[in-house]
Amino acid sequence: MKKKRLLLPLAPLLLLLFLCLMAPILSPYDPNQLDTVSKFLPPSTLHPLGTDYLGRDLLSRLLWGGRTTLGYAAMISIFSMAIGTFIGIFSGWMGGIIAKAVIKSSDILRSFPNIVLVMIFMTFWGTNMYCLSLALILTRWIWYARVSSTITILQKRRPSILASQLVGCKTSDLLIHHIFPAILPQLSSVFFIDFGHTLLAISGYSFLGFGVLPPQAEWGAMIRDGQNYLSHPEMMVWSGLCILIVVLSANTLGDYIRDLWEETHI
Amino acid sequence: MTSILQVENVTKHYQNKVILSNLSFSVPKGSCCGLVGQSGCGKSTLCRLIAGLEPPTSGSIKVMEQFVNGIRQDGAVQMIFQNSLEAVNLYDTVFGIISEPMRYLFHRKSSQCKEDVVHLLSQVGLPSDYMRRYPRQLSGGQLQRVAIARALAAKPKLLLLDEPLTGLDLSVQAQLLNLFTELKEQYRLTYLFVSHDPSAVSYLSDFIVTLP
Amino acid sequence: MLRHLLREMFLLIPLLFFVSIVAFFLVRCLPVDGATAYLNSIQVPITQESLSTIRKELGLDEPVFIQYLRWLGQILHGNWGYSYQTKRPVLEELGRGFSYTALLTMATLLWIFVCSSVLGITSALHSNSIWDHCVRFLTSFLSSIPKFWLGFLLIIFFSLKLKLLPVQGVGTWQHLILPSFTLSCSYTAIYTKLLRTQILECSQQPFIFYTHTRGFSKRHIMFHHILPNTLPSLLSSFTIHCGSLFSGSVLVETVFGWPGLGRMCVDAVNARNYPMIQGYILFLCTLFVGINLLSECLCITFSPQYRQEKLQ
Repeated sequence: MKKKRLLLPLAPLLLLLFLCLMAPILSPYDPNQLDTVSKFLPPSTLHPLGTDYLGRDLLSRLLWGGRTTLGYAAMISIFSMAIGTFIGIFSGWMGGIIAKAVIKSSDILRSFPNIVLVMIFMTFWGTNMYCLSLALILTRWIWYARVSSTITILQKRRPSILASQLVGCKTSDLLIHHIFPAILPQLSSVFFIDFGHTLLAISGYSFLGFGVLPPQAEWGAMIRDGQNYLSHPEMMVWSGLCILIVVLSANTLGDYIRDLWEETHI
Repeated sequence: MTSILQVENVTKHYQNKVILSNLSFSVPKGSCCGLVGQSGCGKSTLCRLIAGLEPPTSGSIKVMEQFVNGIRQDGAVQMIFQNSLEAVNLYDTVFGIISEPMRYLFHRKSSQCKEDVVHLLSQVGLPSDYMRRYPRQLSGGQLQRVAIARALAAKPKLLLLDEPLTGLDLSVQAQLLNLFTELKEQYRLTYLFVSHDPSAVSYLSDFIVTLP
Repeated sequence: MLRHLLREMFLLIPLLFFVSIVAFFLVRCLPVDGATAYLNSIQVPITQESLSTIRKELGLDEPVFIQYLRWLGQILHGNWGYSYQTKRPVLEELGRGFSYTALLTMATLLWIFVCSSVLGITSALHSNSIWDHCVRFLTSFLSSIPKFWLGFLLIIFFSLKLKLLPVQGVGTWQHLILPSFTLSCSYTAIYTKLLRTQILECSQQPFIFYTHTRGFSKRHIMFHHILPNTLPSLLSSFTIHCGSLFSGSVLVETVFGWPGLGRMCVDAVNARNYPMIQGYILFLCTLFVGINLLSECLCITFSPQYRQEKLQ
């Protein structure tokens, strides 16, 4: 597997991440600055991507919106990974009913439409970004738990665990030095793919009107703004393109890591 | 202490299957006891019982005059497994694997273990630059030597050899058998040698226990 | 197999009970009291008097267990309450929404079946060719694209620029094309990839080599030997996606103004239409359980390995 192939998905992802991180420096205007005189301006040197229906600069909104979208997606993925991995390793190590419960619940959750669960959660606890993040973390940790649990169960059976116990390894040492490194490759693959899905989910919910509230810039919310002005497609084209590039890169990266791991282990 | 290992009336059931039935034998210090039998007759199970991983359904096992009650914390019982690739941590270097007993049993730091690891590698016939290699970069026979070095690092009294020659070339098997003989003399070890290969068992063992 | 099915259905009854309890108690956990919510919806001023009247009327002053039994009795008799927004029976609204969603799902399944068979089989037959690389890129692309954005792009291109298809809403069969196609895209990507992998793996098997030597034509081998062996894994993936397909795609229905279950859910959540939400949860869980049973039947029928596993 050529290492050069890694550059193809990694480059656009890192570039977009960097640009959005630098939004306070790179953004030419305030993303919420209204200028009703300058509505729907075409791309120009003043406004490289044009303006939207309220005269706000699209490039600035794109950069700042990226900060929101990517930031939340990363945070939710990291939290889900931390919680899911911890519970997964614990349940896999304990085995028995706990492990079976984790795997069975993940099977059920996998087929049940997550969007319904999240919407029900938001009905009862609010539709702002904090509730949405919490709802997403609660539905996504189980993916990581399943992977961690399955691998822990397999690793636990290896003679190397007994051999290390005979030389004085305690349970915590076994979990950190034996089990966790075995989980890491699969986990990273799942993380990138999950990051992509989470990003799609956040932008989807913002599009529906949950999560990020106007006038805050966010890629999904920009598409929502653009839906009433389809004759000016530039309002939604750029944000959708950014989502596509990031998710495509993340998916490809996740697949690459998984293929790399499979190659060395089969 | 004359016997390192005393097995008395040991029976082991798994759900409804009887694996071991009323087994008794003892192994004197410094000898090699061969354990033979058909596949699936409980040889590996007996090793796990002696190592303390599981308790027998009835009967008792004594190692160094002490009843076996869980895994020993002093490393006196060590085991060499059938599949060396399964028996080592694939995500650690050879140095890490061999120094594991030194770090966990004797609470030494990694930096203090280097000389001893080099010495052990030479004892098992491997060059010292293998320290930085990972298990997947070694052959089956070399990896089995690393496993032996790790076992020796724990300063064991009893070494359980659970079919250590399976899957290796005949020449490699012969080299390992010679290595086992040398190390037994040098470190004054006691062996329990499990195998289904009668010629290997008769070469190394002082006496043989046959499982029905 | 009939015995196994009956046993599964028997096991479902406690599950459905559990679901009903969850649906009942979820609404009881609301930050807003049930009586207040009801009074808000009928726009009656909230006073101590009106609250106690309503509580008596709705039976909210009785013990919770009695309330649950009464509610369960009503559910089983078909009285699922009335929507706060439209004032029509919840069951009627859900039924209507489901009929639209089912129509959309059927059309989507047709797209998925046709597109993924064609793309999967052709790319597997010509693996590592330019076409194969194009198909693989397309599947990555389709699984990464946001559905709602794709929907709008298709509307802009086909409805606004080319004026071939209607923009939104229901009515004719042309209204069905764009929403079902949009919804099918991500699933097509998954099934194309899966079918391609399965065909390639199956072709490497020794028994396929022997069918070649026995003189069968390539077409015969593909349709009589390779494809049937790909069915089990395709069906098990289908069981996972079945539930989400039938429960309505919220995003696509919103983009295209399709009055299905998904859109109903969004409107109900936005308007805090609690009887509707409660009915939706109950309806969806029952539907989900039923669909799982159905897909399990399909798996048992078409996959001998699965059958052996389950019926041993």
